[in-house]
Amino acid sequence: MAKIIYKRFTIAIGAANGSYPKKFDLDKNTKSVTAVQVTADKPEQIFNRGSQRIEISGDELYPEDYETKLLMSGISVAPDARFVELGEVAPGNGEVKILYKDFNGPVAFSAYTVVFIFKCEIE
Amino acid sequence: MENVFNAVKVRRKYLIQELPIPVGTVYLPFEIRLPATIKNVTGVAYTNTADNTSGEVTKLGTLGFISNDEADLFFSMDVYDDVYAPTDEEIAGISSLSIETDEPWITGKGPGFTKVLLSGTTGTITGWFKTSGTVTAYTIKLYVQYEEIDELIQVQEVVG
Repeated sequence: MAKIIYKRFTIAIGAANGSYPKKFDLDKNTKSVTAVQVTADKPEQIFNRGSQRIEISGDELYPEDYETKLLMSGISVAPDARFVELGEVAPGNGEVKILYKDFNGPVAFSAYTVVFIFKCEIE
Repeated sequence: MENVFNAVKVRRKYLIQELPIPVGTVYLPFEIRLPATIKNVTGVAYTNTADNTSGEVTKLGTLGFISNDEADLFFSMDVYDDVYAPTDEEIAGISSLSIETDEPWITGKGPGFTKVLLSGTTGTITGWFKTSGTVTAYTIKLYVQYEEIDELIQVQEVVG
């Protein structure tokens, strides 16, 4: 049975209405990426103001302006069910590109950190 | 023994379309063009920017989706200014210690996809948004989840 690990990537959002492109690397022994979850230290910020594009090794999983609220999960959801299933995404060169955007939403901006967690199967 | 057979890998993708709703809009038709590589449409979702500071959930209107094939009007849904399902206590304005009445990023009742199944041969999805009266301008963001045939892959299966 494949071993599961969780890769955690963070992006600090310091200013309102900005774009934050970031590149991260998966482990070299990653076999596939199976699920993703997005959370933050201030969930109301990403729920009301966040959107992102996620790409793994050139394969676009979520397009630009895909709102973060569609990838979030609450604490009343069972821990195992909190991830959004991706199928089995091949890691390719292991490069994860995230373009996070903060936009004017119904909640006033306050600096926050958004956290992306990828569930990975490793060899 | 090892069997090798061909399988088709299917990828899940998303289309996003914004519908600006100006003040006074009653009926707004729209069209969503699907990519040529599409296999099935599997889900739809929406979010909106309508002001919900009053705390009361109000119906903004109804969305309808029509395909070009025999599925015809395959889906319609009501659109509310709050995209998550409110509880009865919330609607009545009763405060409660229950987690059920808490914010969607705590309860997990955020917006999600409604499952539909539509053949990708339809090419385009046409639709309409019929408002319940537009007092302030807002934008509805429509999400269409679809499957795309990606590639033919070889699968190895070890038997016995």
